[in-house]
Amino acid sequence: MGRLARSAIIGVGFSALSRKPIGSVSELANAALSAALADAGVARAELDGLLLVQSELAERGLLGVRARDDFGLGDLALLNAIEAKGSSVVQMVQLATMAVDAGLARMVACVFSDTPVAAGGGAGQSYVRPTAISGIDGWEERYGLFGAIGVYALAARRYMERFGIDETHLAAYAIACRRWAAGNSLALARGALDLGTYRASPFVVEPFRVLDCALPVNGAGAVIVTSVARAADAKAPAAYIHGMGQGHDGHSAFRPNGNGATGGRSAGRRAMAMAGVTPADVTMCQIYDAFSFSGLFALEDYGLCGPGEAGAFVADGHTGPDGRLPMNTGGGHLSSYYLQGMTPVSEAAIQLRGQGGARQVARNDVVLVNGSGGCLEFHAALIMSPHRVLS
Amino acid sequence: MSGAVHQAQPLPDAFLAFLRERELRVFRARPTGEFVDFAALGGVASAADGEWIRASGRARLYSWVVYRRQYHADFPPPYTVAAVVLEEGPLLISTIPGDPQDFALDMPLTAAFDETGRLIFKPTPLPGTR
Repeated sequence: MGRLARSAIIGVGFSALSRKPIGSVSELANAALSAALADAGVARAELDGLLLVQSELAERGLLGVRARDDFGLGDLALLNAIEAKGSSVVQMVQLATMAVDAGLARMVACVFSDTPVAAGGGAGQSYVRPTAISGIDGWEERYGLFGAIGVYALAARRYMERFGIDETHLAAYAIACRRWAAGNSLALARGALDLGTYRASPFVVEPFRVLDCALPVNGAGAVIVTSVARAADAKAPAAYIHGMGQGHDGHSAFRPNGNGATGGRSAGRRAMAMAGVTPADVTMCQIYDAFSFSGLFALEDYGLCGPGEAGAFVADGHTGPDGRLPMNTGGGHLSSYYLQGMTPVSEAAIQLRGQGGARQVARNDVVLVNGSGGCLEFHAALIMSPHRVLS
Repeated sequence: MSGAVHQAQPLPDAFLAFLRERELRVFRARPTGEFVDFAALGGVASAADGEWIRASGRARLYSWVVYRRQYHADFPPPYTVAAVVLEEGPLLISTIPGDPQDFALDMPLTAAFDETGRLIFKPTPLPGTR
């Protein structure tokens, strides 16, 4: 007895992606939308749903519901802008799935756009703000805990010290991603990376170096979500969504006596339960890696590796090209483009639809996709497959 | 005495008010008798739901990082940011003086105040050493 998918992605598109200013958030979003519609073979007039995500760090309202007017769309049956930090893009696809499954809309575009890189080429300032984890106003500012990077670095240090993970494991993760990026013509960092190059990368917040951090980019990505029935008419193979889950468990990663697990564990369990699969069934994963540590940690949080095992797993090459669990096959956020969750979602769809070109992976029956944000607080996950029915 | 005064304030404000008097206090909820995480103080309806207890000042090092990039004019790098767990249970962001090379996970710490009155944590000397 098989389980029928709940929705399908039938188109993927990007705007130009650049480390220089190339247009407004709205312009880039519209370009990605056009590319995704063309890829899907769907006319703009056929869209009856539009969902939007902008970076949480960007000025509010840059990509709000009036994008409908900017994009020249008609009488929409579904329109919303979603804000759930790093889980937003995956949540957007979940909402689109629920909408087509419930009959609220038939053809929904999901769009992410961001312009963090300023004319001078710097993006670090885009991510600077005190990060609150104590709940006491101004507390973290007194100690200079700026940016999400500080909180992730704290989580990383504890994880590394607990399990004997060192910089060679972080490097191995970054190197695996860079090897994948070599096969992705859109990836912005494709040069060879080895341990020496990694070690030459300056520290930002120890234990993280520049090469442990996501690669900010100006650009947009979009996917077109429709019903399973409508996907049968699509001009190209569809990527099917079988499972969806969320997990929002506060600062569980910083619970003194916890085991370090986050809401990601719940999100993964829920998505896998809906799809009727287990971690052992997952053949590929596309993970929201704001930092190298995030990728390692997600492997364990989602049950794909045991506690403390992800470092050796990655160092042994299992997540790289030719590995048994291909991960972030376009280069991920570190080496391709930091489209904040649209990177893993779009890469899953590209792989499932056989559009990966030089990086196409043969074995992709069950793909885990996640988005996570805040201070390891907000998580959403998908189980995707090239198969309409999962047995 | 001052405890009674601060009881009337919102809990996060009371915590800061105690610190200004160089007292580290933690909130113990009634009727569970559990110490409330600082992040959860905002969810406590009223100070009458518990009491502010003077913390022992003993803590352990949960994690630490070293900022190597300048994010703010008041924080020239390098500087250490630490997460510490008080003996009573709640976790706090703070800092630790000294060379991070000498730090170890879960090492014992003691609460102190720096010259500006800011709460910091110092490595606890081993017995018999200074």
